[in-house]
Amino acid sequence: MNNGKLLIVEDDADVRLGYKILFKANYYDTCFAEDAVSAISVARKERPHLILLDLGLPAGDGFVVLERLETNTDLGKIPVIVVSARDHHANEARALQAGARAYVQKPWDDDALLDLIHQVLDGGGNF
Amino acid sequence: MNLSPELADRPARILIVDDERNNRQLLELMLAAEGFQPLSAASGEEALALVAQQPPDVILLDVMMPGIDGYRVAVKIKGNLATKNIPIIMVTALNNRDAKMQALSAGAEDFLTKPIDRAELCMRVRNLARLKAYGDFYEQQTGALTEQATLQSALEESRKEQLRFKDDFLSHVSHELRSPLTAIKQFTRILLGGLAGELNEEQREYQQIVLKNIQQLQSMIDDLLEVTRLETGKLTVELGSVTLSDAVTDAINTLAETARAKGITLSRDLPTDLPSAHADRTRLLQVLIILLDNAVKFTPRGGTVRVRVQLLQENHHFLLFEVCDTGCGVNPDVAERLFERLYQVSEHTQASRKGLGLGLYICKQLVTRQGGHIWMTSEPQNGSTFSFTLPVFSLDRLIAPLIKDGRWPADSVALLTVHFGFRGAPPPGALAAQRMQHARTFVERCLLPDLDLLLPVSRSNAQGEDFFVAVFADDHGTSVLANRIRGQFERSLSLKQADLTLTVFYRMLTPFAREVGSSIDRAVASMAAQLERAIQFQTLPWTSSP
Repeated sequence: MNNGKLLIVEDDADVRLGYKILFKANYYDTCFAEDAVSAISVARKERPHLILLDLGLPAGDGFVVLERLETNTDLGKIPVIVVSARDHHANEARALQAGARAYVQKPWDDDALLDLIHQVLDGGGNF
Repeated sequence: MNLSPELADRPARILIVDDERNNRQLLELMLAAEGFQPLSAASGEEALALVAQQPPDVILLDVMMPGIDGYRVAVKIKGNLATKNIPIIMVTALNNRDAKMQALSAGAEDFLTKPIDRAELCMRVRNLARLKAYGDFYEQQTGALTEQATLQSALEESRKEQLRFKDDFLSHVSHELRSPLTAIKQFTRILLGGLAGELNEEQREYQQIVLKNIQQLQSMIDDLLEVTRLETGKLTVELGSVTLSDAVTDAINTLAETARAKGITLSRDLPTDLPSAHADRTRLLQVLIILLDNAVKFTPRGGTVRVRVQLLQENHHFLLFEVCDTGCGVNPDVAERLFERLYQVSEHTQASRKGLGLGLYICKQLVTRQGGHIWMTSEPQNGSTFSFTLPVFSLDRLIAPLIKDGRWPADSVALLTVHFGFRGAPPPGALAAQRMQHARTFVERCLLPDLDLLLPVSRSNAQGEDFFVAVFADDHGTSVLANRIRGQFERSLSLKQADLTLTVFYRMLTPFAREVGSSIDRAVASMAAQLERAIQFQTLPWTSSP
């Protein structure tokens, strides 16, 4: 059983490990990028079904990644969920406007995040 | 600073400018005898140099002098900002109108004719010296006032700067606190979920305690940021029509688990015909959740917490919300202070842990910003009731300023309905809400803010959500707007990716001014009623994507 492949763009190694354990237990494949530049190259190489994107990243923040993904014909189709410690009041609207499907505030609730990923992948219908 | 010019503690300095030594000496004697302090200059050039060095209080200026004559000296002194307030008395040999006019037009305040009469000289000099002293006095005062105002605005600026700093600082700190908290929570959930091996009963219990404390820390960070937003004016309240049965149900559901765990009954008491509130749904929910959370916290096991909403008895334009508990109650003396920032109940309570003491402060700010009041009543040992009011929603309140300001010419008005639907089955919960917020922002961006009014009424059902726009335009103008919204939607990749479909249509309403004559209030009422009816009976011919 496999629920799909997730690209996690996150600069904190502990949080990446936490994601990996959680998603493995929930039958997702995972691949990772630690900064804004490698986010695009990993996305191109791995073709994930969904991207979890942190906003505070080295080498350009998450909005830069969103913009590059959106303007790319192929990668633009991959749904993005922003997961950030930045306050949602200031960033949620901007992230949605930039093309993100949803905004999740860190620290998140695991069940809610898994539900959300499931919904987005279900509704996306590209695979 | 002198309180009055009369208190000037030095004799007035009078500059005598005359090329003839005898004349100067005579004037010096006369003035010294009257208590003035005379100074002398033998030419126009010398006079100008002296004026620049130690400005006198009055100048007696001879007209006929070699070099620069008296008129030109006067023009120079009056043309200089630093010396223009020094009064000048021209001393002329000619007692004719031309000479006097020339003296006055050069800027002199007064003139004397030779031979000089001692009494007249002293009176004129004294008068001008006094006028000068008054002038200086007021100038000083004005200067002081200006200085004070400058100081005040500098203080205000620095206060704002401090607030900005505090805001930046708190945002930064909260962000940095959230990051490690994220990892702590992740791994606690991993342990609790048995993803690193099964836990025994004791280990599980301890991890639950860790998780509970993480949640507390998380909500403290949220409160901190909320208060910063409130105080820096970044928190916006978007008023709309809020259906109360839904809002109250949502609030109760949020607290249901916590209440159940404590064996507390949550109940609601709402009449079925309750009108909508004119409020910000998210903010109202926030207030209700804080009050319910407090009530559950302070109510002992087995108690009851009740939410009641009804029309305010004294004023039917307002709704009264009450959250009652059967907890330990609060001493009435502190009832007011509860809503202060950082106030914490100091006496022994059953609540296991204090928060930051910001919750009720946030409630008060939010209720006030939505046009209501909040208060509490309590009897120790008999529970507490937190009450607040909010205005009843009415379209009248919303469109009145538009019509009264004349922004809406009273000709043609249409109700535009923008329907967003989900292509497939609607996504439940938070995702659907986020998409509709996105859709709402999209509609706002398509409108002209001074002519089109996005009504704060939206109607949702399983198929999607309707947004209503009141538009001042004729049939043609309204159809142009409808087409623009469709066109923008076609270009919006993110909306289409979110699997939304769009339907737009409109209905022209009866021109209201002609119908009701000249009364603005009646025009407002008629317009509001028409819009309300049109919204209520709007049935869409649902179609798929345009």
